[in-house]
Amino acid sequence: MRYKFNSNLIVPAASVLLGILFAGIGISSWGLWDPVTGPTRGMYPSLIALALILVGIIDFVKAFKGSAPVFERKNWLIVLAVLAVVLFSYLIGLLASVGIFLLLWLKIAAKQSWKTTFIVMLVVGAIVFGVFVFWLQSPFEEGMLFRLIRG
Amino acid sequence: MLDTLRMFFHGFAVLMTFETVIAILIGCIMGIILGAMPGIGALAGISLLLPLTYMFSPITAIALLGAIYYGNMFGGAYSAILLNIPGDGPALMTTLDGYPLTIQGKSGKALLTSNFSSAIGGTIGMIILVFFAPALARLGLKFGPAEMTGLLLLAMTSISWLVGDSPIKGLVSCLLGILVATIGIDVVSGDIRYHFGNMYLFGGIPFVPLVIGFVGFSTVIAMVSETKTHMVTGAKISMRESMPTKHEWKRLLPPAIRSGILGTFVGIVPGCGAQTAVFLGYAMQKKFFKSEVPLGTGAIEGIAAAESADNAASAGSFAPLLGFGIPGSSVGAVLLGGLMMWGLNPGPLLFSTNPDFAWGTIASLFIAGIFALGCGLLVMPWLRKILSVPMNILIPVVTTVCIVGSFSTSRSMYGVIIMLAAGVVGYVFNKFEYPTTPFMLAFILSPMLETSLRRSLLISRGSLAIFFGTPISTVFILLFIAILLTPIVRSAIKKIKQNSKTA
Repeated sequence: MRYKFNSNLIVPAASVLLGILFAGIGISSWGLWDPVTGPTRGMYPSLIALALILVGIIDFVKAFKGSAPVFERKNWLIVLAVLAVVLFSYLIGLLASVGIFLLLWLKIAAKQSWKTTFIVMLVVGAIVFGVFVFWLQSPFEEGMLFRLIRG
Repeated sequence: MLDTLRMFFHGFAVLMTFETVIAILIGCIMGIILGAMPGIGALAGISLLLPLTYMFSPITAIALLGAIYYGNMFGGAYSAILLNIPGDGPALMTTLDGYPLTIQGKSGKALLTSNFSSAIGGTIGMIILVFFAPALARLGLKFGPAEMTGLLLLAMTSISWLVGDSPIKGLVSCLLGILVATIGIDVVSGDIRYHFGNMYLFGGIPFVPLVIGFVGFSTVIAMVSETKTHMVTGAKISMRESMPTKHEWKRLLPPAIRSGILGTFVGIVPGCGAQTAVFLGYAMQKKFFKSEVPLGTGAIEGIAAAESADNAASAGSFAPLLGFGIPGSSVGAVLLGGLMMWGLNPGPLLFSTNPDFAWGTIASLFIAGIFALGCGLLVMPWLRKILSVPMNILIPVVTTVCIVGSFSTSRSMYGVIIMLAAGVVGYVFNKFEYPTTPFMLAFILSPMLETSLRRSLLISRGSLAIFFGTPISTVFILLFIAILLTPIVRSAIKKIKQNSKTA
């Protein structure tokens, strides 16, 4: 068997690293057993983390076999779009950022007509305002600009 | 028995408020629509709609979730029949006979068979649930921390090992779910751990944004590369012409009843779930009973067996959920998480400490079953339009719901960030074929497991002998060890066989 790096190794490697991190903090900071109070807060996560390290190593060895899946760039576009919504929400507010995202996605990525874009935005807007703003009364992030204008 | 029936009818009385009845109706409609849309499915549908339950009382909220779940199962079959794409996992077997009927121009017949069989299976499941859930709860009252530890270990591993081709991947997913759940407040001492200097992590990882991201947003990420619009083929569906005839009722009733009973008992076993029940129900019909036309070529017996088992198993899975506090499926895990949001802890004490809630939940499933059947029939004429919604319109719409829903439940951008991160992790999990169900189940059950484990060890002063102290806990632990060892033994036998062949 040839040992060659492939993307299948990402999850097992991350699992082992996470296991080392959790076990390390758990054992060094709180220990496993206290003579008076019994199991410490570090015992359970440390045991699980040690098990994860063991299973992660087996998974790592197995990951060399088989073909790695192909990731398409366009799938990450939506992740970047949501990341942009998060960042812009601190500036112009969450609802405005979501509105701009909807408009840009429908027009540029989905290549929809103005009519369809308008209808979808109207329906989604009604749901968001009706359910989340008025009914659930969620205090959405207003953003710096809005706070600045309001004074 | 009489007391059980009295409490069951009391459950109906608890539900009879305008708000709850409307919530069940809305839940059924939303569930059917989301379930019918290819690529979304029951789990993502319930996760996306979790934020809506925040404004309701616990009984109304769980009735709404139950109705969404029920509606989803009806809807899941629609895309399986009309598009050959199962709306959820269990609907896979429905495609085998449903789609051939659509090609033959009998899609209406297939849809109505599916609807009626779902209702029959669901009703059988719920009748058994009425008697089984309190019985399990009574059994659960005898459980101490050692028994609970064994049961929880069993519940977590059975799902991990059953899902996917690689048990190791299931275990990795399960252990990661447990570790993520340990972030924040220690359930026993109240101390904070693993916050990494971030004050948001003091309270742990919020459940709803995590589920919305892990299930809902990860689905959206995957949908981006699948922008094909599905078109329904065949003639317009006519309700009158599609109604089953007397002869067809004779064909669909026996498999629906048999699969309903089998499916319920499969659903009661934690970790088996609807998918196993559907497979067994269909296999039973194929191997042991005659069908008018061969299964897989458009036999209504096949649809009846699969759909009845699906709904029955889903009702059955409520028994361990309510009786032991252990979900039988991934959707059950989300429902359990939903219950915990209101401070309700399903388990042995639920029927005695909160009978209104326990029996109200069971009664709500009955009402949801009736409403889902009615809504299913009403929605049928619009199915073509619902199923033809382009993916590239669904993507921004569902993303918006993910963002706004995550914010509204956590009331801060922290929820949106958790949703985004969980979505990426969920997508990567799906890409590398790591099952997501063990992660979620472990995340939800982890605090209970930690509490039971630490209590047991405290009582025994660190001795593991406590887990072999009673017959029940011994059986649970031995089963857990057997499940843990099965893949290792299986792979060893496989290697020995291969070696003997090459020798």
